[in-house]
Amino acid sequence: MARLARLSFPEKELARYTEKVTAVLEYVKQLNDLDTKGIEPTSHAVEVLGKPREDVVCEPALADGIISNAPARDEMFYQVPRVIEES
Amino acid sequence: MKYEAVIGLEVHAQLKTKTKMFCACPTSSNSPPNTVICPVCTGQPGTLPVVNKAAVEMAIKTGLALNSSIQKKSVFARKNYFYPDLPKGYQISQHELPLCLGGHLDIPSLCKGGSSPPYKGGGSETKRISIIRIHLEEDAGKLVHDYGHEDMSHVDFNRCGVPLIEIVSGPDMRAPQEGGAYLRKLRNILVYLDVCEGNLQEGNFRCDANISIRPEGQSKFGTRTELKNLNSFKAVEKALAYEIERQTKLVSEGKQVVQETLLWNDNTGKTESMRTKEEAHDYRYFPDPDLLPLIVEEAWIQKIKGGLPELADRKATRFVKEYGIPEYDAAILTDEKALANYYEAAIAEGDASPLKKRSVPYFKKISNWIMTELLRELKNDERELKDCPVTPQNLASLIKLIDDGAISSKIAKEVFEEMYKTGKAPADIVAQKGLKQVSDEGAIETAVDKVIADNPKQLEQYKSGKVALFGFFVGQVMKETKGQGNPKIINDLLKKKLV
Amino acid sequence: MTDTICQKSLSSISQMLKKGEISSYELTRAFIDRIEKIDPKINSFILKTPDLALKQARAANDRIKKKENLTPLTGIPIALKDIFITKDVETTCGSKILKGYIPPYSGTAVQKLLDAGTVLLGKLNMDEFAMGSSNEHSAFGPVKNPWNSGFVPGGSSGGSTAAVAADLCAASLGTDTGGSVRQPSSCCSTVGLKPTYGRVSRYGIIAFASSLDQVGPITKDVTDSAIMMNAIAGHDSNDATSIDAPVPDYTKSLIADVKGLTIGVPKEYFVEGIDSEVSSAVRAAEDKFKELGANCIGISLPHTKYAVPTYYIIAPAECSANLARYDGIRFGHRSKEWEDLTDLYEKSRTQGFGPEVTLRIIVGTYVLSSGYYDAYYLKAQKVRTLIKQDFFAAFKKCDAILTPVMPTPPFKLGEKLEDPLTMYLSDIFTIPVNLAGLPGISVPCGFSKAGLPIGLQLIGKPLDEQTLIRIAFTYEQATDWHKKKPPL
Repeated sequence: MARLARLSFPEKELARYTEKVTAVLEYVKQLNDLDTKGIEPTSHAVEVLGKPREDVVCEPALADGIISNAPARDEMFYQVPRVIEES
Repeated sequence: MKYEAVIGLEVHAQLKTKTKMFCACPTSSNSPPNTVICPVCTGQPGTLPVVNKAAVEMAIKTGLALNSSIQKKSVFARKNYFYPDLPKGYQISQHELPLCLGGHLDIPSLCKGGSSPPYKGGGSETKRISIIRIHLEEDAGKLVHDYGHEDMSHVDFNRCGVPLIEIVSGPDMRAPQEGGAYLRKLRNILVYLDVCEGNLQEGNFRCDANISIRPEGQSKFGTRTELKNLNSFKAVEKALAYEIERQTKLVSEGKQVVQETLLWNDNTGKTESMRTKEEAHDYRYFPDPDLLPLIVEEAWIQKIKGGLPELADRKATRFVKEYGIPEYDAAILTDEKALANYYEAAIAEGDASPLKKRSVPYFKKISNWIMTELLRELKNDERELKDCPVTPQNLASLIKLIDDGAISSKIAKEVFEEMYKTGKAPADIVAQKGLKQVSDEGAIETAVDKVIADNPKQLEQYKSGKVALFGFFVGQVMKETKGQGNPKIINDLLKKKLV
Repeated sequence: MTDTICQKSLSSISQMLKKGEISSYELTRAFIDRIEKIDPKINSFILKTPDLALKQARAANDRIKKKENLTPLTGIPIALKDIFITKDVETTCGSKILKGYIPPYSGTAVQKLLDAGTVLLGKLNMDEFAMGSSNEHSAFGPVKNPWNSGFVPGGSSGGSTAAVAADLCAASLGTDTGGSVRQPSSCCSTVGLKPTYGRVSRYGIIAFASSLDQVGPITKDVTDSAIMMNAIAGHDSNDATSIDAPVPDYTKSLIADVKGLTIGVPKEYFVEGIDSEVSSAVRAAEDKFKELGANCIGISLPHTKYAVPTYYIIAPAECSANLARYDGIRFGHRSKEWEDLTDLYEKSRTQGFGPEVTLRIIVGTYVLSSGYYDAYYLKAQKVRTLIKQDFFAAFKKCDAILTPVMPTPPFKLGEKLEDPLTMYLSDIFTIPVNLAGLPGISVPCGFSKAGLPIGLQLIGKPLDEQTLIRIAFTYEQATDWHKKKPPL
């Protein structure tokens, strides 16, 4: 799980976290007491229909402000550790 | 043991909308890095996606053209993984409930022993390739290597958020050529619909392949591998062919095919294992709470259906019926919509009289000129049809000049070359260069008489049986009339006078 | 100007500004001075922005003089929970991972307040990424309850409620995902309103759990709450989940009359385990409502006890995806040492996130992972439907529902830090409201013997904030809890 979430845990902390995570997961298992056959899941809190956006351009004006937060950059590029991949 | 290949193709096509999938940034390419970005497409904290209606419309168009069932309700889902070109740490895609389900596309049946058709032999034998699903998603940014510090890679988010449709075929193809045919046909349809540029090299039409082999007659699938980095139609066919051979060799040696992702290396002509660690990808899909389910009303679907352009197949069939040209010609003319439009514009220009009075030879003439002269010039020049200096109207005028006898077909070729160089109208060129065909019988007769008088030796030889010399006389008369003599009149007069 | 001006309600200050009795500049100066004096005791501010505030105050002065587009909020000094994206003003979300982040844009609710002419005093402390019920999980130190600094102010908008209670700003905005506006309001004796999901735009609030998050005003009284709602509510085309419905004038609901209204009191919210001081304070409120002419009936919300486990599947799941963007690539903290890309991600995130956030990301990753999705996430979504159905059935019989806000009065700092589950249970009464997407308001209704505030909660029908405001206003007018001030 830690790898999937890109988090790391030093040895002594790993046990403590495992305990806490397990406790939470055990606690939430009580939902299995409920019979939910035939119940629709609520994946969205609102019942209304969404409004898709018209295809109208809004000229980008915030690019400088955005890239100014880059922790590592090379001119106008964001810099990251070398990644080997297909071209 | 004979093995058969089982091939499925996944195509990602960039949609030609004005704005990105979930924000109003323009989709134009070729801007300096990280300039076509906004807080939404760079995943800044606090931002939210809003669906682009035009992208949905283009996806529906595609689904209709591919005979898919457009789903009234589809859901956007988050596909979670970490990568530098993915700013939110998830891609918004569609998972359990895609926009289109099912569908098919027919390709010409495989010609044995040939390289990929596409239209050789034509014929009504087709093979149906099924389509499993089509869904909407957003593109990621671009990772740039070989720039700056060599230990680092660089990310450009201009492309991030551009709308994509993913088209997944069934595992129905059995040969690399079928894969190529499917891709060409699919691309043709997308370009016809004006939803995608369809350029593999530029990356707006991408293909990944899934391929496995199994003993002929077995219904169970073998282990499949996924091929990536296929940057041209040829590369797709070559990679598939290579992989089929590689897998066949493995299996016939009693070894196992490993399920993995392979990169096609066009330089070495081989597939290679990806050097990055193969991690189990658990994408943890779940419906995106920021986007409500996409509801597509039937009325909208019908409206889009009504507005669909005539696709290549129907157009080609219509050309054969209406214009009486052969299937082969119709196929070439309809390969690109722009070319088909050019053809019909030339026809429309050529004669004001109603269609049924126009003749098949006329239609065939125009199609010939396009297929031979026009396409050749464009190819040599590496020019696109939209940059063609010869307008359909001018081409039609040229053919009218020939039909009227104003110039010979030989002269017409010269005129055409000049038209292509300068973009001028044929009548202007003919007038300027004085190329008008001489059809004055009197003038030609004078020339014929002169040539006969000047060439007594050849006359003698001709009269004594060397009939091949007729051509010599025609040539001489042509020379005498500076190439402008009406060939028919020359021929008739010579025949009369050479007896 | 002494800082007694700071103790007045937003609506009275607004009147004074319009009448020219004070200027926004003087007012802002008074708040700035009071913050310097008092905030060291409670640590409610992460970032103070006095220069910006004075600049905005001068502009507001001009505007008031010229009577240009005046609103009830023109010239009013406010402070915002540091979860609100504010252009060019550092926004940290209470976390190390966003220290130094200067947003290139402002969120919708923030922009609306700026356009109305408010003055920004600073960004307020909060539980990191809005995950917490005590404001002890901040990277910038815990907030102390202004009523007693040995106690928590509640969370996650603890900085906002403490600041408002301590009169360090005229009003604030918080966000509420499982109770984070209502619960700290109850702890600090402020009015905290969580609108219907979708009533206020989420564009520009750092996302925690997208299907639950909602912006809510934190104010000294119900009138101020209505004024703030008028300014921030409404459809936003940048937020696909925002509701396209007209915004009423909420101040028209400031009517002190509940005759003819039916208030439901759910038996499941008064079970054993609830502190007797809390239950008696809320029961006393119930009696008050009867006295005022409302019809109080008993109702049942049978799936109440499943609300907290449901929440602790859905919220972590959504947050695990929402927090994936904090990776050190485009903004925020990036580890100085790393071996490769994966290592960079891991180190940056592990260094940047606190323990509660880390815990919830892991839980969320787990419940979405293949093999567990159906049993946990999908199951929780279904139970969520059941909880919603409970409320809709109840609303057939009543106009609003009365409950306590927290099962106990505010607890001591450090008391519930060891066991996350104990902490989670303090949201037991507020969580169901977020799961059902309903509006809810917390209003002061008493004090414990130890002198710590206790609040009552009113839950309303979707888009019926008006009824909540009316009932809350009536109660407030009939009591004087809201007039008390903490001993600072």
